[in-house]
Formats: sequence, C-alpha cells, structure tokens
Amino acid sequence: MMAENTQKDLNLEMELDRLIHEPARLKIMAFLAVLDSADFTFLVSRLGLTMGNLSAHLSKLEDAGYVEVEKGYKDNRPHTAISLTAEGDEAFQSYRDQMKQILQ
Amino acid sequence: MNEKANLQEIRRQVYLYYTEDGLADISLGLVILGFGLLLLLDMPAFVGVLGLIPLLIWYLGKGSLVVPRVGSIQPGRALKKRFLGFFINLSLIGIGVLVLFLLGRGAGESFFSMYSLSIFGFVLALGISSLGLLMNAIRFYFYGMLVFIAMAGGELLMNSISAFDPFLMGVIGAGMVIVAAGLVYLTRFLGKYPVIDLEG
Repeated sequence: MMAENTQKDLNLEMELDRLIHEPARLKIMAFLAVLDSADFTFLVSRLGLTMGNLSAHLSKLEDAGYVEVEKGYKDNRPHTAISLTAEGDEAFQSYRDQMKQILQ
Repeated sequence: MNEKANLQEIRRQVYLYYTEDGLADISLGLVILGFGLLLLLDMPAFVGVLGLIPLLIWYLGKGSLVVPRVGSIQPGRALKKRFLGFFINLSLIGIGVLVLFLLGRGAGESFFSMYSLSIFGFVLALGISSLGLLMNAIRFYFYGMLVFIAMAGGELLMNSISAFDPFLMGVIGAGMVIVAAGLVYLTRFLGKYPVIDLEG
C-alpha cells in the first residue's frame, strides 16, 4: 500500500509543470497570482534577483504564454508591467493542486 | 501547510508594499496633528482640508520616493474586494455612530453628550485599527489605542486642568508621535531600498 502511494506521488511529481516548479519562477507566478499586475522594479525588489536573472525567467514564462510583459514609459522612466495570462493563471492553479496532492 | 503559508507570505509582502515606507503613518499623523491645531486655532471650518494631506503625500511620496525603489503594483481582485469591504464596513460604523450621536444629543444629559469626545476618539481608534487589520500592520492598533487614550484622557481631565486644553494637547501629541514613527519607518525604508536604475 505504501509503495503504491509512493509510486502515485512520483507519477504526480513527473506531471508537475517544471517551468513553474523552479523556485524563482514559482515566486514570480505567486506574486502575479495575487496581483493584477506588477512592474519590473517591484519584482526585482521583492525577489532579490538581479535584473538579468529576472529578465531571463520572465522570458521563459512569456514564451510559455504564462505572463504578459508590457514595455513602455511612465513619468519619463522606463516601465515594464507584468501580469499573469489566463493560461498562466490556470497553470499556476493546477500546479498548486498537484502540490497539495503530493504533500497530503 | 507550507504552500498555504508561502502564499500568505506573498500576500504579507504585498501588504508591506503599502505600509513599509511609513507614508501612511505620516499621513495619519499629520491629519490628527492638523485636526488638533485647527481646533486650537479655532478654525474648525477647515477640517475638511485635512483630507487632502493623505492624497498629497501619497501622490508626491509614492511617485518620487517609493516607485523608483520598489516599483508599483495593481492589486488583484481579492485584494480590491478586501479594500472595498473595509471601506463599506468603516462607512457603516461611521454612519451608525453618527446616528447614535444625533439621537443622544436630543436626549439631554445623555451618555453620548457627556462623553462625546471619548466616543469620537473610540470611533477614530476603531477606524485606525481597522486600517491596521486591512494592511496587516500591527502598529496601527497602537496608533488607534494612542488616539483613544489621548482623546478620552483629555476629556476626563478637561474639568481638572485649566492652564491648557488637555484634549487638544492630547490630540496634537498623538499626531506628533505618529508622524515621528512614520518618519522612522520612512528613513529605514530609504536606507533599505536603493533606487533601482532600469536604464543602467
């Protein structure tokens, strides 16, 4: 019975979205899940990542269609607004459900 | 559960965005200080102008001090609902107390007319504490308590002290303490977060 459960957990883990599972990207997704949008500066200050590192993670999430990145200017300063897409929201919720099952 | 705790931590950090810089404390302190000073100068008609203080501080302070350091956010649906619920509840409490106050005034030497300033202080304290509950900032409970003690204590001492108005001194003192606390938070915030140069 125990071996069966362990196998079930392993199968679930195999199905986990690896793109979200990475700690920095998971934090980005979690922040965006409770906000309508956040700007680049907010994520840099809260996540403690370098700008290059954050850009790389955002590119991966954007390529997967999980986040939307809008670049522009606000008060004569560069402004990048990042928000979760519907697909990203769904992927994050499904990741949360899978994690709940594994941890139960 | 760890996962739940982590999402709560994310939410806590979002609330921190609104309170960490001390601008809310400074705004609140200046409104209370201004209220006391206007009454002291016998200019109660200008009390409405105090509402501009938080707007001005929010607009100027957030734009020049906060956004270049920690960026900006747009709250999600759940947060917006929480903010809206807070303002509706606060408005209902305010209207309820106003009704009780008006009913009490018509009843001669009633409890409401005898302790009107303490009741006003209690409602104000309730509002300030609700702000703390909303923003997850415990220090606002202390501000609420401070304002209530200052107002109720001032009203109780009114008949025994004649050299100065203890109620007004209490209000002005409470306002100054809250402004000072806000300035400490602001100084700490400015030291903790350097300006992030996105063009560099």
